[in-house]
Amino acid sequence: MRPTMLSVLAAALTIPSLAALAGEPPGQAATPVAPPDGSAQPAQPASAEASAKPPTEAPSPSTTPSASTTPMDPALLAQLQAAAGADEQTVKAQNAGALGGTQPSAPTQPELGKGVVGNETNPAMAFIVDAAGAWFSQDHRIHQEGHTPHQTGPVLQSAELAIQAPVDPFFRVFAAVEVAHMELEEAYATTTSLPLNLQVRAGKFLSMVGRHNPTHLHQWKFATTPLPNEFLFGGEGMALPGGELSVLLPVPWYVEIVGAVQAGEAGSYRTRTEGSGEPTYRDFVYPARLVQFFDLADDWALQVGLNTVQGRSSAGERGADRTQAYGAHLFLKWRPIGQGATGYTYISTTVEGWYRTMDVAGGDRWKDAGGYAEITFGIDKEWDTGIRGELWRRLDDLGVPEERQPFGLDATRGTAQISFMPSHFSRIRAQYAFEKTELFPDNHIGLLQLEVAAGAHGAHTY
Amino acid sequence: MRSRIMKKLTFVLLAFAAWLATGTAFATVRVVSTIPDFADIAKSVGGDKVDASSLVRPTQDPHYVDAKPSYVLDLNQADVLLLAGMELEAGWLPSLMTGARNGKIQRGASGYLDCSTLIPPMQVRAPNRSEGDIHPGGNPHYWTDPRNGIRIARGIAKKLAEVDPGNASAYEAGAQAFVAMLETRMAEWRKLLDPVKGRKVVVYHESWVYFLDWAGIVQAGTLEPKPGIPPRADHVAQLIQQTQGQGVRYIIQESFYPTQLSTLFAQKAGAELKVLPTMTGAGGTRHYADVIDVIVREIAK
Repeated sequence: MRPTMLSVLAAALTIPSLAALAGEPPGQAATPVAPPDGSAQPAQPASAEASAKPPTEAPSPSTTPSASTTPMDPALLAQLQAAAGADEQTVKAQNAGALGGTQPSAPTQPELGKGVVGNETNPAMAFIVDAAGAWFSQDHRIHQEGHTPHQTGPVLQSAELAIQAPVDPFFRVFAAVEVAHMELEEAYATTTSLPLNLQVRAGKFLSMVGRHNPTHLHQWKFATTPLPNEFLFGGEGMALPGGELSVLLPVPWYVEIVGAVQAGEAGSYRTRTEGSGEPTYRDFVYPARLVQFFDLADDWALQVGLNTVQGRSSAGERGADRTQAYGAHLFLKWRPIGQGATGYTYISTTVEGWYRTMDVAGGDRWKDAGGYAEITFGIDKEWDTGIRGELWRRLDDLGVPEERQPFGLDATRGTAQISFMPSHFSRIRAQYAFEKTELFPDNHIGLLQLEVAAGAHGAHTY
Repeated sequence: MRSRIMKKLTFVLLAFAAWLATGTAFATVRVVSTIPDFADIAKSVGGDKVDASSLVRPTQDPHYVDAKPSYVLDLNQADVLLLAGMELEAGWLPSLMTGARNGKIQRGASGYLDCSTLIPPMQVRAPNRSEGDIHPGGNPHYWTDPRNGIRIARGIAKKLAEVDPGNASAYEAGAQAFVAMLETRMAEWRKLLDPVKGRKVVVYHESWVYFLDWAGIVQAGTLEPKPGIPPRADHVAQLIQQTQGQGVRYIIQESFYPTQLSTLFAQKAGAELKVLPTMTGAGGTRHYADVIDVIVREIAK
């Protein structure tokens, strides 16, 4: 037998008695309405029982919703009933004059009127652990940083504490702390009530560019960062302190323009450090994005975006120090939600491409382009699978001096993954990748990843 | 040349002024609901004073909705947001609300109504996910119980009166009319349900506890071993054994759950599979009361 299931079932059958506490609505001939003089009501054993017992306990699974089970001291029961009746009268008196409270055919509903449900004033917290085992066929290979495993053997990809809450009707706050490496990934406040469809974010945040950069490991469809994104924004992605302004344009479809000013170092960008004097406006990183969304049908959705990041080159020198990247992305999803469709079957495609110029010491300018394309198939509630292709190419003829390697090598990588999700809060993922990079021999990579997420259910972004 | 530029400039300024004006004055109160049922109730209560729409499709699992940016546009224009609460929309609504940039519908603001605060919750449980995807605040599938329909209608009327005090009496009258209609229907349904009181059903997901409680029908088991965990053969086999000889009449479920295991269970347990609507618009229903009507008539058969 399964005691857990039975107790859940039992709870389902007994808690209904709580409904009686709030008073039965009209039309329920079975429940008498309390007399107006406030005298004790006729017996309502169900409500007395509910008030005397914690709601999670259940005596027996076969209980019908209306039946009472445990015999109680009749004197105590009468006392409890009298008290419950008196309470109900107080509530009714307080609610007199409320909607529907005056007509005899529709007596007042004692309104519960809870302003707060549960633990709402505390932030919603989630703890997400990603453990992986990795295997590489080559020792001599390109090394990725951040969450991507970089050596054969077990690795803790991430142990993230995500915290979020509405502060008041004007602000929301979000923070993600990477406990495994004691790093604050993000901590920012977002406005929710500015006029003119404006929105401001302030704090440390992942720049809103492309599809991949704004996301966290647990949102990825693969266990690794695409190489092009690492060449551009570093292994951790572009997550820097700054301020961001965005606007939703007042047109009939979704058009959002986002621009930010951020400071710090990420991939091919670096704000001038303190040693070289106070930074001027030229020295910060400026990510911007224009994104449009088209709800093609109930089952079809399309997002397209144009992206750019302007800033100071992390390999430059004074006078020749720009890094400029321009990109575009597309996200297309088919997910039937009509009659008979489970909603777990879907196909989604993401394509993200970038062109980058980067000034380097000696007056040279590296020119590179690259991107990735992935397609994910949702099979059912428990399984999904996907493939991804990544590509990066040097477009100049300046060769690959050692200092260039972290910012881009001619590389091609193909990845396939299959994931099993026992529940909405856990996932096991197996991933294989084949990697072809200049300077290195061909590499085969195998990964097995386990992810668990405890705590509050985070809201997904699109 | 110059006058053309002036004309263009005037046009741009006018468009900008119109943009500024939106949100400050409305002819009708724009209500956006997560599920279609609250939108339908709001239409009944508010009549032509409100313009109500909903985000979730009636055939869609409301737990798992894509946070499409197009929903942000709906929420951006809303005066009132109605939601089921109890974490039913926790996976998708918060990011939409933030993206909406609309102060009127944020939690704590005047246009925010979590309808679960209007009803007495069932299955309030200790937050322990080893018991499945449970909602600590209670089971969020409460709107198919007509007693809750009455509570929701009154709550919506009160909220509309707060947001649009000029029409408060109209909303009160709308709520009264809706309640009177629902009471009449409830008396009809009661007549259908009384002869089958105590009838046993098995459910796929525990979406029916409030309805069954009102209807006097007994939930004899769930196909999902735990809420949100898809059924497995061994659990269903056990359930068939457990319910043997108990006279389980129906296995009931929403259209967005797969039917193969349910069909097999129905065959083996001598029950009948009923795929029933839980949201307005599913299974050919047009209004809130139609949904309950379909469920009552099918279960009382």
